[in-house]
Amino acid sequence: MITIFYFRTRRYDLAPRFGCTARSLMMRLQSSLTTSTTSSQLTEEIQIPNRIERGPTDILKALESTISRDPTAPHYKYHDDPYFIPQSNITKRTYALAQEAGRKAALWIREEHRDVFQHKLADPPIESFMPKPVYTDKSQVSENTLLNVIKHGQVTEAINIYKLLQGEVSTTSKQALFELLCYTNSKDPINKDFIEERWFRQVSSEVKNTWKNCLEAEELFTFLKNQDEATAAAAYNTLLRGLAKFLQTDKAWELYQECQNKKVPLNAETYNYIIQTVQFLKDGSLEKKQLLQTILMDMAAQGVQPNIGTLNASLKVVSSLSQNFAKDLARSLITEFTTIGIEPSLASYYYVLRIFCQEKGPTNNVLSEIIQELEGKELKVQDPMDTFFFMTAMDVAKNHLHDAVVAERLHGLLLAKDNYKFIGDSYKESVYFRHYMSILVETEPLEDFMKIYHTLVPNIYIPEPSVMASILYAVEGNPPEIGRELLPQFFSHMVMFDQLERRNLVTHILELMRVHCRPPPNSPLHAQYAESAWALWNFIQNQRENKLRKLQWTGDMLGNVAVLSLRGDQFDRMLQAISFLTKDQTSVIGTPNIEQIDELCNACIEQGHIAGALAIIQYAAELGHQEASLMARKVYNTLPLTPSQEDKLVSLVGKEVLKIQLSVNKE
Amino acid sequence: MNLLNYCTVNLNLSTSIIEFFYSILNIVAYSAVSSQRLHTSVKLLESSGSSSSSSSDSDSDNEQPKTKTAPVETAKKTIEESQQDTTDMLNNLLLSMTQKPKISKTIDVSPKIKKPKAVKDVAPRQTKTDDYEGELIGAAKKVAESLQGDREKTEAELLGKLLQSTSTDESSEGKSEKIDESISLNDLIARMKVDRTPRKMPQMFSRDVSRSTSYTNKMQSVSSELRNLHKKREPFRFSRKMQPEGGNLRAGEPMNIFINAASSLAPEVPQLSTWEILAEEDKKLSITHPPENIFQELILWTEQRKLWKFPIDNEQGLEEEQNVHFSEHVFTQRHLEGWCPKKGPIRHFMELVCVGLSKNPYLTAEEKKNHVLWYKDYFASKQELLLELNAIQGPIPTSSSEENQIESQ
Repeated sequence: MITIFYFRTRRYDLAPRFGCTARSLMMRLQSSLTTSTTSSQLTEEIQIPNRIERGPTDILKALESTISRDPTAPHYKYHDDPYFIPQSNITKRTYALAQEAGRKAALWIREEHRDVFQHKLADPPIESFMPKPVYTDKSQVSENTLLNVIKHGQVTEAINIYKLLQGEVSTTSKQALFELLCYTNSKDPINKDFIEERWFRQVSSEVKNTWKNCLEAEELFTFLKNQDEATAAAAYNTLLRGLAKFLQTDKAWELYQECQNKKVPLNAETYNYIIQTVQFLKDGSLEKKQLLQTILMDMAAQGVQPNIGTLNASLKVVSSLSQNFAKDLARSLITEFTTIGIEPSLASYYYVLRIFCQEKGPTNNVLSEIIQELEGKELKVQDPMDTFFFMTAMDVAKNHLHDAVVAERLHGLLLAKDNYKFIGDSYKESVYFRHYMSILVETEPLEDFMKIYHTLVPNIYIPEPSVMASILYAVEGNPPEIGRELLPQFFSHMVMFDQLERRNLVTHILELMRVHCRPPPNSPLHAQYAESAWALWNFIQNQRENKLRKLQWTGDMLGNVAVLSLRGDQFDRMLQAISFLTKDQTSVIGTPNIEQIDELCNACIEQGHIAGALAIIQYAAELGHQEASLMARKVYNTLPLTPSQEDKLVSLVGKEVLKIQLSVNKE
Repeated sequence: MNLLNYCTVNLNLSTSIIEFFYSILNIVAYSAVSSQRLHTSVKLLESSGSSSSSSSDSDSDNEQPKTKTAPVETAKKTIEESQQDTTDMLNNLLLSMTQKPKISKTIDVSPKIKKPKAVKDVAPRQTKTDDYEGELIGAAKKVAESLQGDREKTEAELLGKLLQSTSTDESSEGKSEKIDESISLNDLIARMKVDRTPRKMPQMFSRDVSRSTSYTNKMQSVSSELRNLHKKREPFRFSRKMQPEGGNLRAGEPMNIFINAASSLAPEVPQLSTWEILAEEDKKLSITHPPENIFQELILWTEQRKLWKFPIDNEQGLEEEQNVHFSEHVFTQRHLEGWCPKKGPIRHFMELVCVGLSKNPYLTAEEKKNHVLWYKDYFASKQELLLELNAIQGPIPTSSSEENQIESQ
């Protein structure tokens, strides 16, 4: 925690001491110059550079630029305590939001007990540390308070003050309040301080009319539109934007017609919002296109200068058109706007990708062109949709182009300069990395992929089960020597990332350990594999005890656990697994395959464990495996059986089989 | 794509196919496909070779309509003989492939991001491909013969597909174009990975069907993907003719809406300042993320006005006193002139007051003046007593009496 004490003293130091010392210093310097240098140099005038104005955060920014993200360390927001370092996506979210919850609790207490927090520690006082004032009487508020509240976007508070003032404010203030209400749809936005909440929030992509009819807003509009021309125009602009922003499209369109009839001037931003409604007003592609063109021509006819928002809004409309029109129209738009000096922003490219790289359409390499243009450029945020670019672009690189080279270039672009801020939020970040990792694991050699894996996992990105699955497939596609060493690590990562309950992953990795990546005899890896398998055993058995049924045993898994334990010289564990398999059959789905059963049976025979061998044979016989008789024969031949055990064997595989064996034996 | 399915499905049809495939692989190796992809394809060969009998069931769903027309029965005759040859060929192939990696690494043209434009010397590759071309044509002929369908058509189709990718490879100049042109081949190889999925399909769980949906889903998605390959292929080829490569983003015809518009007639449009402020704020918030280090956090706090701003200035937040000269604060004795006795206890007291005020940083200059004047009024109100005590020589003019005097004058 950093505590800042404010010590304040004022300078009343009269003697210009610095001036004196500086002058004497200069004189001394000059005298030394004259003695040591030639006169020609003396004539050179000293150029004192102009003072560079520094902002309040410039020094901090300079210091910050010396630090780069350390992938081996958890994110700065997490406590520097091993117990609090998150290891999975869930814990990442939980810990960060827990911290935020603490922040919220503090705010709540401050509001509830405002009387206790009236002391002023800091001078000048820090407004954001003080409880918000509560106004209950007209005498407490003025027009300035209202304007201040509006500036900070506090909707409820603004309405409250406006009511207290009984509407006795200037027209400008009324217009400001009206703009606030239309911009926020009369709802309080999320507190700006809740940075984690914004980071982890999942914005629903649902597109529907959310416009809220607010009584105050309506009153304000009726008042404002009857004022002088400029005020009325501003009011129309505001309401149009609000209606279009929250997709009250029909009313927005009506109002737009009204504005045209009354010749109310609209500005570019308002037109941008109107353009966005086009895709909801018309159904057919052709109609949409025509309407878009009409609005643009209307803009031009009114002499309104378009801006980057106009381009983005138009491209958004184009992205909803059918492919026949879309591409050519998008190209025309971009040429048009670049000619008048408006360069596309990241949001424009986002729409371009949506237009050019559709799932069912032909493959298009526009992404390479875009990256080419963006590389080396200083990217500025120009549109709230800018943050969608990187996620979509990586999606295109993975699913549309299926090209690791493009993906790598895109990733380089993201890491260049300050571009990482365009990653959006936690959801977009993980989608981005999911696509990035999937394309790499599918195309790059496993060794190269692992280097990137180690830099990104687990602090920057934690692979989702689907990515983990493709990693396992990559291991399978590579020679066993490469994958062998990696498997224990992947398994421990699966434990860490809470993926043990994913049956497909667990089954696959056990199968890989048993078959594809089977280590050579006497390898220390056998012990590691056995430990991994036993970790799974403990995990599932614990779940069973706690009556959680997230993951159930399957015969295949259980067989693999037994085989891996056996190979890791954990005979007791193997027996435990076998006895569970044979005695608790109702809680096991499916059966182990015959290879596994065979290996287990042989092991029992080698160890001379008759009970185990018999149990396995019984199990195999009940399943109807023909190999049961072969096993029985082997047991009979190699192990000394008591008569009761012999009887059991007979009852399992039938007298005939055993008699044949007996006769063979006697011969 | 067509080609791949031929090979996977009817692998044991004829040895000639293997030969053909071998040539393809070589071409593939020389046409910008990384060694990893090469490896996967070998893997595929291995898998479909070793378990061709078991995988044929699942694969038959994805058979191309074309292959279905090929008379399978006639081909079956040769199966028995060719089975042995096939495995031999495969083994040879695998052997040669495992000895290859060094070569394939040197020609690994999948470049790192640093040099997207790096174009390798085309000439050596050219000669290599030429060597294989003859081999390839021969192999394709054999395939066409063995399939016994429309021979010429099959052969033409096979070769057309391959030569198209090689020839465009040569002609292409930039890396980006090359990527797009060879996309079908890349796709081909990339999708070969998918083929492995059904092979490793674990046994189905009879008791718990719902749980096994993930597998069936995967299966379905894989098979539907394979089925779609055929459908997808058509627009691919079609579009390549219509629209060469790349997006040609800047190549469009301008709409001439704004370009010709005269900007001079812009009317007086009101700007919505509050709206702009809020929108600007939102834009900024969209790229403000949880701080990544202490300096970012300090920047954030500074912007939220929770921190002392750099450069450190003792007088921060004292904007109202900014225009007051420091002497106003320090020399407060001037306010004693005109009323305070020159000497005596009152003079002494007032001088101490002035010294104290000059050191006080918390009062404004105006407040200091008022403070001194308050004493003036106080002593004025007591002046009768003071005169009696000889503490002052003459009367102290009160501020009210001063005003009266001014008014009377």
